[in-house]
Amino acid sequence: MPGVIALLYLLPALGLIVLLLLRRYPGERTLLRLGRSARPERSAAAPVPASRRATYRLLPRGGLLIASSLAVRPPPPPRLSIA
Amino acid sequence: MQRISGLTLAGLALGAVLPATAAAHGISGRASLPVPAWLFAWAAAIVLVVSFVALSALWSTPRLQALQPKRLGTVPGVLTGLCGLIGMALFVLLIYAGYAGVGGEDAQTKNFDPTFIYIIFWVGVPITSAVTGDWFRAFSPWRAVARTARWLGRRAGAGRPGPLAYPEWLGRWPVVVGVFAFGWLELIYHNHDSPSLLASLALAYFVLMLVGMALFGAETWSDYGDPFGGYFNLFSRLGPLEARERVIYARRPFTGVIGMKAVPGTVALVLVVIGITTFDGASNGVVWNNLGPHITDFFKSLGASDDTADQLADSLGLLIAIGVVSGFFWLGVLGMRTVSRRFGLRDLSSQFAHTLVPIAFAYVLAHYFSLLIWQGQAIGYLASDPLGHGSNLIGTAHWHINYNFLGSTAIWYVQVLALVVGHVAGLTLAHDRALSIFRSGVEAVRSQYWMLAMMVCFTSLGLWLLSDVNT
Repeated sequence: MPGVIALLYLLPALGLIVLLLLRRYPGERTLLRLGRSARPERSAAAPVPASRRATYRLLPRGGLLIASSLAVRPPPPPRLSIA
Repeated sequence: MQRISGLTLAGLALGAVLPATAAAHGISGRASLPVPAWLFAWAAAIVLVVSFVALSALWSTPRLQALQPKRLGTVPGVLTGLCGLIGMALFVLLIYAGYAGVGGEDAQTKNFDPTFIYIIFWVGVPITSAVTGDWFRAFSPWRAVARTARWLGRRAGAGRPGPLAYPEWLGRWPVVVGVFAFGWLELIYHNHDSPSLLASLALAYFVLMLVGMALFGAETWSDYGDPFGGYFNLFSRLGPLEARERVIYARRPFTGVIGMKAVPGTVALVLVVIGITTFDGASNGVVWNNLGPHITDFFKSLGASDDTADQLADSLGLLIAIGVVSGFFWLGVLGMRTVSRRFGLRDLSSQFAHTLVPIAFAYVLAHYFSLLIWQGQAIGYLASDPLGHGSNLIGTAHWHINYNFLGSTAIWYVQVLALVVGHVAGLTLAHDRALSIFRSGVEAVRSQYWMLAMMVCFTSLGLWLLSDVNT
């Protein structure tokens, strides 16, 4: 019964897909809560160094990340010196 | 945890209820396993779910998107020249063995070419590239010729016209077409072991590569136009080493794919690689062995000869396999689109294409591991007698394949491990990318539920294929 065996293999995947098609995301709230608690909080006593902030701002995110990835020639890196 | 334990117990109970089906075929008869093989798929799914939970809970900001490799050192120019010479010498041996060596039914076991091309080159190079980086680039015979021509041109002071601009729309499509064609040759074409055919195709490929490099430049063509170079480079991005312009860099494993440009054809390339491996597994399995003859009969009824009908049926099977694999990927992408409408399907597929590379590698490693470990040993005696005429050039002609080198049960566990690690790596890459492109945590987490479903589909399919093989 190859069909039954194949179904046994795919059962976990099918179960998950059915849940997602019903717009159910089991454990979502718990995951979000855990994710928030794991995120490092910045306190006033320990400010982020200026150089690190600058590096963080240079990271491509969102639309720019997509543009950089899709472009044959990515946009030039931001200039650090003032022309 | 109670639910997970319950799931495992339910699976074990089902295994006890269905002992006949569990042991009737597949890996159970080949390797000695403590539980039915399908339970490994359930266990792999549980590993993926646990990984997903751990990533969501502990990995809340993108960490991999802007990693920079660390410079290790420079390779001497003499060494790269030597590598090119070795590559060229192997190519000449391949052509010579193809035309002068044993042909016919003995070719597969006695001629150097089939084992070298289908096992060492097609399987060994990509698997080792994932560990050591893109070493084929240094040994590529066509690239060696192009480099030599460039060097001679510079010495002669000849002004060389600039290469044509590589068309943007072409992207990695030449690699896709080449990999598909080679997969078709290997799996479907009946005369695929003919050494003279392989030598002729290798020569034609060599000329095609030289023309491409002359038109578009050696480096650009090597990146996007050389099917084998492009395929090997894909897996080399998973490894901890990277070579650029003779400089060696170190990076975290699996992170090289993040910087891969999602040019046209990138998604198709990875899906075709997985699809070819899928069909290779399925064509030896029970399902295709039951279904394939009916499709062959259908083509015969249309007037095709036995050979043609068989090849047409297998070609259809290959396309179906690529279709199924593509369906899994697009299921994940379409699902993510339901989470956030800010991105189009094309954007999302490009953004998450790199997450398929570890999966493709896992498929290739799992599927071909036993072939490489066992049949790959044949290159030991074939190197000493490449033509099959009874010579003993380097004293290894008496070597034999040692099938006890690794047991079938050990191979099964390596295959399962490869599939699980590959999919967890894919899930991690997808999670990090989701965090960097989606605006809110809710969108990022929900999108990854769909990627989890996709990964579980791929893992289950991979394990089913491995166990479905007739023994």
